[in-house]
Amino acid sequence: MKEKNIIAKKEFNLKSFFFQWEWMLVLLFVVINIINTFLSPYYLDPKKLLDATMTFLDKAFIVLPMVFVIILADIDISVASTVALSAVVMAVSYNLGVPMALAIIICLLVGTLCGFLNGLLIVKFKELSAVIVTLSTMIIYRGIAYIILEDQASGKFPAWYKFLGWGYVGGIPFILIVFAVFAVVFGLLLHKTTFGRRVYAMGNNITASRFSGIQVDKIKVIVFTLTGFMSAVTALFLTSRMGSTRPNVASGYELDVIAMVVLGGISSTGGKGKLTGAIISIFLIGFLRYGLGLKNVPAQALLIIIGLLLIFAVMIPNLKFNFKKWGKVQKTS
Amino acid sequence: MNNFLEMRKITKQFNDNVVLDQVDFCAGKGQVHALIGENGAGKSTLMKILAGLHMPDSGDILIEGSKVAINSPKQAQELGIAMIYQEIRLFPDLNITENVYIRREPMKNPRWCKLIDWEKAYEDTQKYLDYFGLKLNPRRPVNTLGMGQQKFVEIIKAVSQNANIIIMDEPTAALTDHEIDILFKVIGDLKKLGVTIIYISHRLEEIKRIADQVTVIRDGKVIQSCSIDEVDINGIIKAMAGKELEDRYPKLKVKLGKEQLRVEGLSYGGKLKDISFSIKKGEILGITGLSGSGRRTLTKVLCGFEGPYEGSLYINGKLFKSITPHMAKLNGLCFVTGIGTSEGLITNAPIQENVTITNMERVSKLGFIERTTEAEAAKDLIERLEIMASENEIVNNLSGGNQKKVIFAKWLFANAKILFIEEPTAGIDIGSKVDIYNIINELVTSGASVVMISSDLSEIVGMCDRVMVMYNGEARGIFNKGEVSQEDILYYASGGRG
Ligand SMILES: Nc1ncnc2c1ncn2[C@@H]1O[C@H](COP(=O)(O)OP(=O)(O)OP(=O)(O)O)[C@@H](O)[C@H]1O
Ligand SMILES: [Mg+2]
Repeated sequence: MKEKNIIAKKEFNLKSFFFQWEWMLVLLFVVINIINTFLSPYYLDPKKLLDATMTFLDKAFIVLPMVFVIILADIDISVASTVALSAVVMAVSYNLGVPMALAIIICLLVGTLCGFLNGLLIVKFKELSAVIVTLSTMIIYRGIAYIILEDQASGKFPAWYKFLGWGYVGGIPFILIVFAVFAVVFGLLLHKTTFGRRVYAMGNNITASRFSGIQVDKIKVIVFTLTGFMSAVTALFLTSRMGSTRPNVASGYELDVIAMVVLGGISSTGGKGKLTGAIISIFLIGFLRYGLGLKNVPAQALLIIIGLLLIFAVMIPNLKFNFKKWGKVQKTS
Repeated sequence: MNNFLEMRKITKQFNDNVVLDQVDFCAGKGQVHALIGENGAGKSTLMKILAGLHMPDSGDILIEGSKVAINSPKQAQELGIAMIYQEIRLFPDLNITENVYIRREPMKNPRWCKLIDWEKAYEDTQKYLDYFGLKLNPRRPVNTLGMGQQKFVEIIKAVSQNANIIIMDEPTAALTDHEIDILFKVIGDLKKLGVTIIYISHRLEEIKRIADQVTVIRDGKVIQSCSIDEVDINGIIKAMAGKELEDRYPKLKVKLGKEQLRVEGLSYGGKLKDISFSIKKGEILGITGLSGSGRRTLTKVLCGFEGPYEGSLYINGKLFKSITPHMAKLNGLCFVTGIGTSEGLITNAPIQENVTITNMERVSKLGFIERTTEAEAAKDLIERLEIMASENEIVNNLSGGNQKKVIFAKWLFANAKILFIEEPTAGIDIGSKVDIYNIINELVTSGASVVMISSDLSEIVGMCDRVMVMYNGEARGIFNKGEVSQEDILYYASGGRG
């Protein structure tokens, strides 16, 4: 008598499998590539496409930890300033005679520290939301970068450092390889480990997570620290590509990064979304920008397209819901 | 008999699972109609259909003989149907009045100005609070209230809608006896006004007290529907579970071991005053008191969710001057929260993930979760607690009683040694209550100790070795089993002194 009531085990449902946001993104990605091919005969050159990834992958490093931040239902808008500060500190220390390898480590440390500070402020001052805290540190970090470098450029890095942003390994851009490695690591971390599970739990219900004995503050600090660290990684690649750095580098990156995450189907209310979605949307936006660039479409047009895509991404869950209701009405009438 | 409300041949399916199968349900004007059945029988689902939260797959609803369409909670409200849900659905940061009048605030004249007449709202809320005998300020934020008081805010919210059908889904699960008396008096008054009340409860004594009619459902079908005079409790139990019930409180004699927890002179921010008690391995200590007496605060402080405290806390002889939730967990202390709050479960995650969340290390290697091991662990507990769902079912889709069992499962999974269990059997059907007591027995025989925070005095008297009665943040006395009666406990709980 009781067995009868047991809810049937969910079978693998083909329809719901394909009706996932990630597949919509793949579809969109294919569409964009087809359009691009029509727009420009030079588009589908594999060598050129690989090269294109080098132009947009620098900020992709921040997308990975930002997925964690947004799953926690938080946000970090200080990332671009962290990039600037860690790049500036690296350049200045190199030019003061610090060996490049050490300067790179300093860069990573500065970024990590910035992230750690964000996390610490957020958990210590519970009244302040992550937006407010990172808005303040966004201004502060950028401000410090300006004080250090006073609106100048700093560069003249050793020749080997160029390899980061411009080098190839076996014909594949070095930056793409590094990104792939990080993407796998973050993917495993989010979807396979206890840490990732805790992040999802916190994003869904922070109270229940706390009452289950999850150390919510610790996890938050770790996530923000990771974000700082990855911002510094972005700083390394960005500086290498540009050859020098200024206090105003990477401006606007925070919005690009957040846009990629949200477009990737990671809900800003927390607890939902997959890393793959964000990764697909990195390439989607990247290739869109590249294709339109080939056609000399102004950057503003691109912004409009991205904006529309974002609205679409936020709308889609509600659209799905309406479809269902509509189906029911059809059936009963 | 002329029926004010009639639900005809209601059928409802949730992904191939037939939850209601051609259910007929009638209720007369000015009557209290009890709806009872096991956990997961479909009681809440039937009532959510009436309240416009779910749409039936087929069937009709008639009010005063004419067919009505209820497609949304708003439509239900317009038809004069109000529902008090099983779980508390208040906005924790808003105050009592704002919660009571949410989305139907009284307006100032002229109405097109859309200015809310807060004065009137506060005044009216105050009147209701007085009527319910609650000494509360209508401006008080809801998250500062105890569970019972929050339930009353829900009740006031429903009553103040001047509805002519009020559905109460297990309203008394977190209420103390005194509060239940108040509620019943209100129900009596509502009846006189001609309001129809549909009353869902697992406490059959209550039903005998207030109901005029009873409908029993099992597995989504009506088993019995008749007047209260025609049934006896044992008959109902039999109809509900399809079997006879043995001993209601299967208390075991367990040999007590060494002291596991000792609290000395604990005080906390004026809410707890100089509390001392201890508990031994194998012991069940009951803590009871009216809502607002500090039972819950005491638990939260001891498990590290509130603090810092003054006084000393010893766990297994080790002194703790302060404690965090993590430290508490590492030392085997845990808080098995009640349902109806957001503290217990991550409702949009599957059962499996909710169960293992307390101790993920057990199902992972080097930080990587092994999903098959995890599923096995969850399946074990599902079987042991007779939860009626598979391990990958989303918790939100479970009936209230089954959710409660999932909370139990997660703390069993954590291998906790000192369990503070809040309202262990609230919302659990009579048959499964015994199962829960048996699990508690199993826990104490295997060397754990249990603190039961409960409002159900017969449960306290039936299951606990000792009882601590709290009043106003103080411990008014600790009594051994057999030394006190339910009446004595009530006397101390309402401020009496020995
Ligand atoms: N939204 C939903 N999606 C899927 N299944 C659901 C949903 N809501 C309820 N169910 C299922 O319907 C059945 C009946 O649930 P319901 O909440 O009506 O039980 P109940 O009689 O109120 O039990 P309880 O006494 O435990 O509260 C359960 O098996 C439950 O798992
Ligand atoms: Mg229910």
